[in-house]
Amino acid sequence: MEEVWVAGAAMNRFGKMAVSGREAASQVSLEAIERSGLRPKDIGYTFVSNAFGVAERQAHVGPLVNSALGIPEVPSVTVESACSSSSAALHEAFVHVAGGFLDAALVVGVEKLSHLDTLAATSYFAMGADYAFESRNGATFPGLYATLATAHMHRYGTRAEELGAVAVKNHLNASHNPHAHFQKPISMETYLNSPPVSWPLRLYDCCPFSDGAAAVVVVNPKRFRSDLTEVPAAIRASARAGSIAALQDRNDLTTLPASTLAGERAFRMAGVDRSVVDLLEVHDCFTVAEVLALEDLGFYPPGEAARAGAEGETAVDGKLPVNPSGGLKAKGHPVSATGAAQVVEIFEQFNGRAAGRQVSDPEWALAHNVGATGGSCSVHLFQRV
Amino acid sequence: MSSGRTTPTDAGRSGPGEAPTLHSIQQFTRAYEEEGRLLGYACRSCGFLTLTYLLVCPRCGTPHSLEDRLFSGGGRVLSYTLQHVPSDEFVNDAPYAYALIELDEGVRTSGWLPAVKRPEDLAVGERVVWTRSYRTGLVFERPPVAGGDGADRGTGP
Repeated sequence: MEEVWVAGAAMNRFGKMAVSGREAASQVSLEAIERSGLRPKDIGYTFVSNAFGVAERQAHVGPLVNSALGIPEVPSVTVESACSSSSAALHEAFVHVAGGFLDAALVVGVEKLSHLDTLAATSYFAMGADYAFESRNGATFPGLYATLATAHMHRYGTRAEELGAVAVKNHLNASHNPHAHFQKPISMETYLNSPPVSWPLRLYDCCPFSDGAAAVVVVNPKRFRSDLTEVPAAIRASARAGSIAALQDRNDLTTLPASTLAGERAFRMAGVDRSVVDLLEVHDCFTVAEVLALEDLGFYPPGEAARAGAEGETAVDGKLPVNPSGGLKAKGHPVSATGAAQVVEIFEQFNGRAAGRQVSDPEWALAHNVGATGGSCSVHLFQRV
Repeated sequence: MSSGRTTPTDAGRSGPGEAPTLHSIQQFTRAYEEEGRLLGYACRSCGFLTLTYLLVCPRCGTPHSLEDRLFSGGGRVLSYTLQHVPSDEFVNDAPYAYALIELDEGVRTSGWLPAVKRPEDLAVGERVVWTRSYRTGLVFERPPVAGGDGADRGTGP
C-alpha cells in the first residue's frame, strides 16, 4: 500500500454564503491546491460531496469544479453519505492513492441551504434518516438525537449542564476560529435559557444550518514530496463502518455502533493506541453526539465523557482537546463540507496556524464524522510528517 | 398465493411451510392504515423481530427467513423527545412526543403521541398503546384507563 498524505487543505467562512455552491467549491479547491504546492493539472480525480445540491437545483457538481479549475478532462464523482459525505469522499481518495491508482486527488465538500427556511431545511435533513419508519413517525434529526440524549441521561444520569458544557466549550473554541459560523462565546446561562428544539435538546445543543465549503488535496509522497509547501499530514488510517439505519432496530440507544466499529478499525489499521492522539475533531451535530463519540471511540468508558468534559478535560488546554475548531456545534455544519473541514482544522493545527485555539505541538489527530444517526461513520487518523 | 420465490411487490402472505413473503413498505402502511394491524417480521432462524423494511435478517444473516408477524401494539417507552420544531408533515401538531417503544413481544418501533405536550407528561418505561391509527405515522397514546401510569423508571433503554 502506498503512503497517502494530506498536502493542502482550505475552507471558507462557514455561515451564509453569498456565492453558489459550485463557486464556493471551486474557490476552496483552488486554494487547497495552491497551498499544497501542486498545480490543478496535477490532480488525477476529483471527489465531490454535495448531498443537498438539489436544493440549489444543481447536481453533478464535479465537472463544474474541474472546468473552473482548468482541468475539464479530469474525472469526478459525487460521494454522498449524509453528514459524513466528504469524509467518505476522502476515504475514496485515500483508497485510490493508497492502491496506486492515483498520485493526487482533490476532495471537496460543499453545501448551501441558507436560502431555505427552518421548516424546509428541517424537512430536508429529516430525509437523511429512515424516512418511512422514523421521519414519518414524527422524528426530525434533532428529535432522533434527542432520544439518544434521553436514553443517555436515563441510564447514566447525564445532566443538562454537562451537555451545556460541550456547547460552552465549542463556542469558546469557535470564537478563536475566523472560519467559524459562530464567533462569540456563550455562557451556561445562555445555554440553559435557550428554547427547546427537541426536548431535552435546546437550541444551543444543536449545530446551526450553515453554508460552507472545504477542500483537501491528498497525494502519494513518492511522486510529490519535493513539491510540497506545507507541513503534511500522513493519513495513517481511513476506516468506515455502518449501523442498522433505524434507531428502533438497535439494541442500545446510548451508542452509535458504527462509531465503535470504525474507531476500532482505524486504530488497528494505524497500529497505534488511543493514547497517542493529541486532538480530536468529532461529530458534534448535537452536544450529546460529542459525548457519544468520545465513549464509542473508547476515549472514555460509557457514561463518563460528559462529566469529564464538564471538568475541562476536553478543552484546548485540557488533557484531551476535542473540537478545537468549535466543532459542528459552533464552527457550523454545512453537511457535505463538514468531513473535509475537520481535516482542514487538523492541517491548520499541524501547521501551527490555529492561533487562540492551537493545541500544543500535536503529532496525532483523529477525525470522526457521522452520517445521520450512525448509519454511516468515518474515522481517520493523521500523523504530522 | 406466492410460490417459493418472492419479491418485495408480492401482495400475498405466506402460509405454513412456504417461503416467507417479503412486503413492500406500502404493504406495511396499508396494514396499519386500512386494516389496523401492526404488521412486521419475525426471523424463522433466530427469532429477530422487526417492524421496518428488511429483506434479510440483520442478526443471523439467513436469507428468506423473515415471516409475517402481527404485533399487539402495547408496549413501553424506551426513550422519547418533545418535538417543538417539526418537519413540514407535522407542522400543525407541535409540540408532540416522538418515542422509541418496545412492544410487549420485544420488537421495537417508533411512533408519535400527539396528546403529550410536556416532557413530564411521559416517562421512560411508561406504558403506551398504538391507537390503531396511522395518521402520517404510527400514533400512540397513554392508556386511557386508570390503574397507574405504569411507569417503571428502573428499566430504561
